[in-house]
Amino acid sequence: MTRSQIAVVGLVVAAVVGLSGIAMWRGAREPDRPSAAMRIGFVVTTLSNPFFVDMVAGAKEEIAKHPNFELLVQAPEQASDNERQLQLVENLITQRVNALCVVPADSKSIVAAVVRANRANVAFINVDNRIDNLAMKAANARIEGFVGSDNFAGGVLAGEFVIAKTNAKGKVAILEGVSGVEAGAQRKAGFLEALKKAPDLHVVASQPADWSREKGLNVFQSIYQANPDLAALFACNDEMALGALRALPAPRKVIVVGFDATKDAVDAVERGEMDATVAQKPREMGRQAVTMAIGAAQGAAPGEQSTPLRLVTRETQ
Amino acid sequence: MPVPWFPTRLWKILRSSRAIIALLIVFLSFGLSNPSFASWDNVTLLFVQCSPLAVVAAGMAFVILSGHIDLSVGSILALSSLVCALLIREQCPLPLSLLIGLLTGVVVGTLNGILVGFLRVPSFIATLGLMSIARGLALALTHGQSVSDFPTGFANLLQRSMLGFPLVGYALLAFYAVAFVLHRRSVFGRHVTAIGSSLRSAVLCGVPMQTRLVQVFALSGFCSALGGIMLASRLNSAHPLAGTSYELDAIAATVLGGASLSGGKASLPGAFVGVLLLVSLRNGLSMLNFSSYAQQVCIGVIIVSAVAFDMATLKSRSGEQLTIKESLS
Repeated sequence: MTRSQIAVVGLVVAAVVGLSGIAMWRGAREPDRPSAAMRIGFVVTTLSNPFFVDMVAGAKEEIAKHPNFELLVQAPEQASDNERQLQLVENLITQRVNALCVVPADSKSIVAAVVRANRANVAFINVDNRIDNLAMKAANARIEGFVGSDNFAGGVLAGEFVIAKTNAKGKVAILEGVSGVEAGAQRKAGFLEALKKAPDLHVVASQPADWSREKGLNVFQSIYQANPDLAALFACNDEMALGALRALPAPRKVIVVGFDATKDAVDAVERGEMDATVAQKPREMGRQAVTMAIGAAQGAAPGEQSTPLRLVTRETQ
Repeated sequence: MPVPWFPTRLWKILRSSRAIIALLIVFLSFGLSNPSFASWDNVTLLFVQCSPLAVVAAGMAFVILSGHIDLSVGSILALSSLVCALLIREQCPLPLSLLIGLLTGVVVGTLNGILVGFLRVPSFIATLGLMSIARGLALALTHGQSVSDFPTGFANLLQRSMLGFPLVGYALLAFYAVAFVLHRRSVFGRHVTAIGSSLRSAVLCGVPMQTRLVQVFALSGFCSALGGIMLASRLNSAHPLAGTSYELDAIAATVLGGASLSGGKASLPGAFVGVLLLVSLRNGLSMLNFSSYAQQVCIGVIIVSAVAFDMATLKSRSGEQLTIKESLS
């Protein structure tokens, strides 16, 4: 046997032993789970956003109360990667999880996964970002339940705050999320609905910054350059609001309102760097979603549930 | 000196199909640790998941065969799927929209080819430039928005299955059969191999180098566009940021499948197995509940070790390293 042949045989053996070793180690790390454990898949859009980290933490707290349930958490590397997310959900379905909780990265592309879940009889709980209804009808797909904040109501809260702070006049800009995401569209719609009561407030710019801090800064910079007399900014999430803050010169004259009340944003509100943010309760949402999924896995009929919202300002903190 | 129980011929077959061995290892170890991985359901799923990348990788195999590289595949994929999606949304007939979408890919690919073949721009730079241009155009075309108001016909294009196997799986196998014939049994394939093996000899023998390079890059553009349309049909939406790391995956799959980045050597079945390998690794690792961050690390390690292993055992195959050693001594 030549040296390279020995190398190949050695490598094959090492790879099999190594990969199975990793697999068994992963299995062993989950302590004493009963062999008949029920599994819940939980897929979010990214774990680099604190909002989803909180949501997953809530989900884990809830699952810990149910010893014969296990939680499988997955997320693509990037929030906009809807192809990767679709693959992750499909993989969980072929693993025959008992129920799925999914925050779709895109409200239409996820429909293929819903169809697959329906076929495999896996209960599909839609969380946070609502799946497009028309796309579901076209594909003849159905979801078992929905858990999410009343984003429209949150947008109204933000709009009313802006009216109060600007004395109902001036220029307003909006930073939108990734297009096609229902949550962002609802927030914006709620905000615009509230602004109808203030005819002297004009929306001069409304552009997507894809939920990201970096893009929030870049997009807002150009909006601000074109409108240096801007009175208020509503960003459809906190990351974009925090990015936009960096574009504003020191004595800040623009009212900035975010959405989600992430830890960074609440800190910024406390320090007076930002004016307000609408608090969703991701932890609560994660808990509700898992409760609903456990119910569905045991045969209960889930439905719709909305997680409450509140406005966070310096006064309320 | 080979021992009798390990015949040289069997050895040669094993050596040349490194990707298949790796795929077997992956299936064996994931299958043993998780029975649902080896299920028929999951195998069909793997074919569905890998289809866009597999089509892109076929084009990449020809580019690598010619001794070049194409970094613009992911951007071409996004641009042509968006063009197609926008046309469909504007009520343009489906076949015409598909045709124009594919043509978009061919046009961008041809530009790559002209830059590389006629203007002698290194392919790394030329395709890097078009990667940026095509991505920018895709983003500008819809202001960064995704397009998703398709009629149901487009969404269902390839989703059905026949005899328990998805239609897209059959289409993929047929596509690869055609590409294989093009590589091994056509003048085009021979010329491209000659260009990649030894540019000087190829030109001296009268191979129309410049035309062939334009054709190779146009083919890669066509494959990227086709992959983009398949992806848009699967996701029911076209996104300007789609296919962001496809160039890396396609190059990795082709190299895992036995291609040499110095040109003259590539295998289409190998590239296909390489794609399956990448996709089943992701699939299997996520079934073991690895986070996507850990998956990226694992896949990187596997690509690098596979190629390093190949270089280490190169000696037994061709003696190339032997000559290097001889010339050193």
